Amino acid sequence: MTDPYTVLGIPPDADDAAIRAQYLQLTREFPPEEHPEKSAAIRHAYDLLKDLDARVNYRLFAAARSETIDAIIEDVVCQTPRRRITLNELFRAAGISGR
Amino acid sequence: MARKRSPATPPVPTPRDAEAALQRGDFVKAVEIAKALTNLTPTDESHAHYVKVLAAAFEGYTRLGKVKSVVETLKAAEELANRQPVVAEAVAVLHAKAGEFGKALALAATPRVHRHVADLCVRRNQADGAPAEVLAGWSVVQTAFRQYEAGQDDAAKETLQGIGLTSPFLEWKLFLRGLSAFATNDTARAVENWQRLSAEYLPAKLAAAPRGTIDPAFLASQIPETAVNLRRQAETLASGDLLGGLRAIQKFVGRDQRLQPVWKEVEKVAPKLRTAHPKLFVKLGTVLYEAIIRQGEPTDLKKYRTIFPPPADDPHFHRLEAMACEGSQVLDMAVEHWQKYEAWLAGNPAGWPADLATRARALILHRIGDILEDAGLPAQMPKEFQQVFRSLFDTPPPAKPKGNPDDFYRRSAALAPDWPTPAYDLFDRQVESKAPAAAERTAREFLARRPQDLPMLERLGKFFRGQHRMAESLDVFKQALATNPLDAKLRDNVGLASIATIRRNLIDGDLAACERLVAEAEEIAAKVFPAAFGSLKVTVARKAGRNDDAAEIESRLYADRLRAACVAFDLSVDGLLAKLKPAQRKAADARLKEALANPAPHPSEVYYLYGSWGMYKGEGLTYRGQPTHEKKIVALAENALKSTEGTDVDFESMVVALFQHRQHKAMLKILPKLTPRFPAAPFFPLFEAKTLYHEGRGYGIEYQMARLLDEAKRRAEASSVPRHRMLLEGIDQVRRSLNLPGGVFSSPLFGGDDDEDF
Repeated sequence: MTDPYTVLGIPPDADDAAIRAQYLQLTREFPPEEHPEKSAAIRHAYDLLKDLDARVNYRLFAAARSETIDAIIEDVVCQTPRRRITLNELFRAAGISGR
Repeated sequence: MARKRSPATPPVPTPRDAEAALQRGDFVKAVEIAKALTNLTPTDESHAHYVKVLAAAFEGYTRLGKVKSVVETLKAAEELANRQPVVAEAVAVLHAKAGEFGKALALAATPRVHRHVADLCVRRNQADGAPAEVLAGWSVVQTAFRQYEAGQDDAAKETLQGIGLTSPFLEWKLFLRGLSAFATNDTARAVENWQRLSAEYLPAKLAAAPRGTIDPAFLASQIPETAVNLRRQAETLASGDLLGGLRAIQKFVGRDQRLQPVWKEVEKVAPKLRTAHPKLFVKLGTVLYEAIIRQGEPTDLKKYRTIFPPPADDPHFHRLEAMACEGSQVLDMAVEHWQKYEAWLAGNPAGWPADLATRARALILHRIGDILEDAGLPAQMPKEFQQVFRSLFDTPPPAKPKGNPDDFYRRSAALAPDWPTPAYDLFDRQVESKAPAAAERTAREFLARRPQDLPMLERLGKFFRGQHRMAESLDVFKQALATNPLDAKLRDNVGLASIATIRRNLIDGDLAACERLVAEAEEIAAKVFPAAFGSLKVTVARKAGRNDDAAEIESRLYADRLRAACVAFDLSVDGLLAKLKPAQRKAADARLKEALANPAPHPSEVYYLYGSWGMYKGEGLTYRGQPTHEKKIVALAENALKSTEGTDVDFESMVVALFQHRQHKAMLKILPKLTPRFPAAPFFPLFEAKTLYHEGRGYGIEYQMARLLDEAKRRAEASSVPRHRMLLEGIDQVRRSLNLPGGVFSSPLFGGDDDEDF
């Protein structure tokens, strides 16, 4: 589950009106017939945040679930700049003994 | 004379047998077969195959560290090379790989062998015993690598100019040029250099992982297993140990296993992650926070505290502990921690705007109410159960959480007056716990704030009906209907409440009120309950001395053949309750007597009749002869089987009426006859199973139910009627639960709550 605030691109203190406005804006940008997956994610995110009850419920009971170890690994891979790999590291990674 | 049997010929080995032996790691056998093949057919091809097998055995033994076998393999290869010069180069390669440079070059001093010698020098990081051709390039390559690793790419490039096209280190030159381009994000040049590498030599193997990240075609050309392996290698190369550590954590998190072993990895990874990716460090904390809730033990939280700072939303970990305790059913502790968390929220913590914090407190208090409500079934676990629990789990049974759900629902409702759920729950609990005054107060207070809240209006209307406060029930349902005039259920409820109110006034002798209410209810009640309302109109008219009106309405009511018995019943009972003179009741009594003796009534007649009988019962009215009437109606239901009329739907309605009045014994007589009469209808076997559960006891009952449910399922699956198909899900659910001890009895199908759904 992705963080719904990130999906909608809104700050954590956004109110009902701001959330609704952003949701409608995104729905226009990503119509379901052209972007089925993206629009489903937007709808799901909106359901999680659409009113005070939903937001409190999300924050209390579900927010922690929006993070996954898989996503962290993916982020580490993406965020790590390409670096100078040493010969020894290459030998180790390939499992070739000798150095 | 018996013929002499020729001895069995041993099967001739094939190259495929040698490959198979290599596959299973039986190198001795593989070499044996390959050697035998060269003896059988000594061709260049068989010799080449033999060398190939020897090379594979050599690699295998080297990998396993079997020095003696490596030596023996090389000896066999050397012998072969001495006999067959055609394989000399291949054997020389083996010697080069083994570091026997002298032997290798003596067998074949070719560029290929030189390149393998060069590979081994780089691999060992020393060139002792290497020939002059190799030594010349060795120092160049060493320098170039040092320069590259120091970030001096231009110098490295310059140095590599010393490696010519015929150098044994040409492959290493390409490799290093690619590596340098890769490090400086010159992907095209990296790919270009690496594409020129020969798969036979070491540089191609070393370049494979980084190449896979920038050359999709190369990665796609690998077998899936290799591609996965290369991706893993690339991840490790990209971020060193960090990713390996995260992968190790990944193996534990989100699975049904203890978290204890994960902390060693977390301790190693966390500091690196905090330095390199501070935001991801916070996310890792969140992931493990959630993991503790789902998989954790008390010691896990202690470990967590030593590595991660407490989350801003749960600085004392009360929420974590509460949710973890809920998950492990330690409900008394869960309630305690939730209370502490709620108290923390009440202290205006940073990051919680007042409206959010207040609603969060209301949600938590409501949750505590739910926990207490769910846990509150038996006041105390019976002693014998406590002993069984102890012997099974070697621990005392979990303590029941302390507290009254009502208090928490009330506090929740007070904190969030615009949120209806706690008010509904509080009201329902008060009704269930027979606290009518408190329930009414809850509903009234709530409706004062939200006068158009339909769920609460419906609750209150039904509550008044249950209390036989019909006029108040009517008022509330009318209020609800004004909010949603098209709601059919609300119209039914208004009709029902109107009839009950008129009847009360009739019994009380308030004729004026009756006349007024009849006029008011005409539009709704006459449509939804024509017989009951019509009968009241007739009785009110008779009471008021308008006999002609009464007779006219009565004759119209009797015109509906299927409701005629029901009309006679209503007229008879209403006449009795309204204290009409015997002469005024005589005709209805006679018609009722005749209807109750009908040897083959239509099933709908029985359905309407029982519905009317139930209406008096629901209104809390009693009269002389009431139980006898019920007995006769139930007997009529059995008589309905003799009727040639009636569809499966008519009989279904009749069966549902019997079920609602718990006439299980009668149903068990009727249903086995209806099942064959309507061979396509799944309803009857399903309801027989349902009735068996309610009525039947003893060994084997589940098997009978299973048989009936199978039949119901078969019929539902074969049917194209939507209402039959709708039964499938429920049937399947019960069938599955039949496999569990007692499962069927806890199924919603048998629970009673969902009965209306059928």
